[in-house]
Amino acid sequence: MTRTAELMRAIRGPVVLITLGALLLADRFSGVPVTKSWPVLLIVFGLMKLLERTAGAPGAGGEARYQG
Amino acid sequence: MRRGSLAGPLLLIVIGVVFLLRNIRPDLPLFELFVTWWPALLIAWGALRIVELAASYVRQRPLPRAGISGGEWALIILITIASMSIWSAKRWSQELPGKIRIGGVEVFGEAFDYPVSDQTVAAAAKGRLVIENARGNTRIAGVEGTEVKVMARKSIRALDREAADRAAAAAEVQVKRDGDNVRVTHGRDTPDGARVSVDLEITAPRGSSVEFRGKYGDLEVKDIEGEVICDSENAGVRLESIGGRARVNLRRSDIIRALKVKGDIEIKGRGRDIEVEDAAGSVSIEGTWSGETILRRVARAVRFESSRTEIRAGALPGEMRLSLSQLMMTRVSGPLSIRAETKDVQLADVTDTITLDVDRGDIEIRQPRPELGRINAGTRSGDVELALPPGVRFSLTATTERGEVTNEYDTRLKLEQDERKGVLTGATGPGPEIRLETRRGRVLLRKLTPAEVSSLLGRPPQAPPPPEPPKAVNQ
Repeated sequence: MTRTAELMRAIRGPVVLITLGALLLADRFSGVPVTKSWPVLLIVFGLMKLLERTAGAPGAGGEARYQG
Repeated sequence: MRRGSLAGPLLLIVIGVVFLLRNIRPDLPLFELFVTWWPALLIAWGALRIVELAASYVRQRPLPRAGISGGEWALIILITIASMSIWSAKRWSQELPGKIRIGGVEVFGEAFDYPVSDQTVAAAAKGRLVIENARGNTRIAGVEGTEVKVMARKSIRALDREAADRAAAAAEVQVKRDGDNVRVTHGRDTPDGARVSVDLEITAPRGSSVEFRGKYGDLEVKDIEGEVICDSENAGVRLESIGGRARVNLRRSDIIRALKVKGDIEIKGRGRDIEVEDAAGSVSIEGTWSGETILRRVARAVRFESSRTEIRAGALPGEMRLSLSQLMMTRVSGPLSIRAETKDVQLADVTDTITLDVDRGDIEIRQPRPELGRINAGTRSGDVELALPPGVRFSLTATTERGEVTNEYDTRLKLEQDERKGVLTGATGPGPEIRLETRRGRVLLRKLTPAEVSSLLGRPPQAPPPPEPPKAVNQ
């Protein structure tokens, strides 16, 4: 697994968290309820997975893994 | 060994600062700010982790497997659920008048009671009492004498004793005479968040009139010979033994009761239940009422108007019960007209013409007296039943577009029934016209049994209390 792929995997959580925060703020101020906009979270999650793949195939082995 | 993220300590610092500021400067709307902007905290948290991870990446440090650990996710979910519920509770409470401000004095404040010395002023025998009480309950009773006496109890909710003292000083209960008027007022809510509520107990000369303006709090008026006017955002109202007319205008109310009012009663607004008994004048009700409306013994015209129901009756010696799904009227005199959307209607002993039009609902009319008025009753969907004592003379047209017509009254009436449609026409003698109609449902014409007739007439109809001779001078 390349280092870029590892980074992509690591920032997946924070990116989803930021999206969640943005959706909640949108709920508050622009009136798009979270109950409607939640699929955005899935899309973001999927995009991050995709980026991870393109950055380097996972499971190549060799490198040490660190528990987060 | 991996260093922990900065997010944890920073979060602790933020929470600590928020609570510290709350304790030092309680007037800052920090809690409100937090409730509004907490999703920004989530974004900041995520951004911070990305910066940290990017730094580790650039410095060739080992990267964690997940940017945000399971424990952190659990914490985030917990915060989200807690904040969302506060949000929705807040939103919900904002829709209510007399709202509960979360984090305001209602939750964090303390209640302080202040004694108010009784005040007495001389008043005209038939003067006007004007009361402005924004928050708190008000009771007014008419007594013999020529004085207005005001007893008050002030209760203030505030964050500390000092703020309460300031608010108490600002909200002085004032009783002032101005010509024939006596005004009872007190200061408004003070701006620094204390909430003043004043309970007033007032006795006034019996001949007075009452004008009440309030926002939140109940009103009770008893033994007053003049008129009563009530205007409030949210109040329960109880009127008893009023000599003049009563006008009640409310934006919200749980119950309005008017007993023994001699003048006309006019109720407007929104609320739940209404109860009127022994009214010597007319009763007019307008607005949206979600509970039950009960009228008993109204000597003059009755008018009820809402977006879905319209009722007019000449007078109501008996009773009317109206709820969202049902209307029952017994002993109505004068012409009765009803227009309703969805309601089951039951009428008994109406001594004049009936005009009834319902969109959806069953109709049942029982007329125990042989002398009959014209009846015109129709529903789009529902059963229609008319019951009369034997031997009444009338001419009839009863139709159903889809259903069955049953004649249990008189064989002289002609019945045409095919698979879908049924028509019953004919006359039993010269008499009033009766028209019954339903698009979908059964029609039944039947005889009242002697037992039913006597039970409907059995209790002799109670006469309304005789209207007292009008007072010579009464405002």
